[in-house]
Amino acid sequence: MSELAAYVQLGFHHITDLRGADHILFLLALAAIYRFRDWRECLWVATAFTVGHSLTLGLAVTNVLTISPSLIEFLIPITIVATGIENVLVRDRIRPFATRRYRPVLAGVFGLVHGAGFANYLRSLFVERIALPLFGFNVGIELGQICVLVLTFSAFVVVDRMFTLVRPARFLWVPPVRARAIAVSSVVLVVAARWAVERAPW
Amino acid sequence: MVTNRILGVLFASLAIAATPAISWSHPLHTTLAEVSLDSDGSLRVTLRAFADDFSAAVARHARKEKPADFAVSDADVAAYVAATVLIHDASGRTVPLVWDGIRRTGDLMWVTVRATGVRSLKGVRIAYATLFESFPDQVNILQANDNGRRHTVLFTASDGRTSKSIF
Repeated sequence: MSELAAYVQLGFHHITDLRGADHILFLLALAAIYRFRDWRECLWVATAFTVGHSLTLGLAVTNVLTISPSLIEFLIPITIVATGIENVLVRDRIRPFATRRYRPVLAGVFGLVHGAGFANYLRSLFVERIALPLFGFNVGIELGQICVLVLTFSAFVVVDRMFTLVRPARFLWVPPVRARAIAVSSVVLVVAARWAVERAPW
Repeated sequence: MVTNRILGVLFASLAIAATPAISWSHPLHTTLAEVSLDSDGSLRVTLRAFADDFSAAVARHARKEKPADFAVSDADVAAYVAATVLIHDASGRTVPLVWDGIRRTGDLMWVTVRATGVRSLKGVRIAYATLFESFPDQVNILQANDNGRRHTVLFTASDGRTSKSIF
């Protein structure tokens, strides 16, 4: 295996590992409001997240940026909570501004926080040559994110269909996508809030 | 709006019940080993690992208490490395490892061992199971260098002590 392929695999493995669910949970929160036909928009948001993530990872591993690991550990679940709250509170996704403008910016900013999360590990381990491991790791993360999103949207299609078929009469007026967004966001929000409390630096 | 709240409360309750089962931790459990052939005919393995995890694993392997300042004896480290890094030459023989030294820089420990009598990296197989017993998401990276040719092999916990060809 080439060195680049190894680091791509490492990044992919890292992002798709269910035992460390913070990243997957954030992707779930990002994707929760979209329908299958909105996949391009969701991919754009996820890519904005990767750009932000790559930026701080690059700055942190090259010692340009130094951030307290305990603060980052706290801020990561906060970004997930914020995304979940935004999903629940913003109901009108029809207006262009609501979805097309600020969500990628939000994802990019939150990506900045997540990128600093494991910068210390990479910086320490690859002390001599960081460029190739960093590049490969980020490519692997992006590929892993795409796989997670494909699986997520497949699950969403099934959930939406089930909700359409079996929803109780009092929920008939709730669009399946909205119901699913609230359900997914509520679960993600509570889990991340608990992590945030556990990781609070004070 | 009321319906949204009902849905929210319902799923939030489910999430509270499920949270303990969902793991947060997202550290990168990784070690890196560089393998090369020296001019004296010995195969040199330099392994770098995070001091906290590595010293804890070494102490556990030696059935000792976890050291407070990551201070572990050379003998214990050598025994742990010998148990988790297995080198087989082209004939399939397991080559014994000889201790060469340890140093610490920052968060990392650097351990060097040698395997003598290996004339070529061709046909050499290595099992690299360091810290697999500690972390199920452990990934070990092995980089083999042979006259400028570089080859990288990944080992995950599911590989166990299975040896892999390095070239």
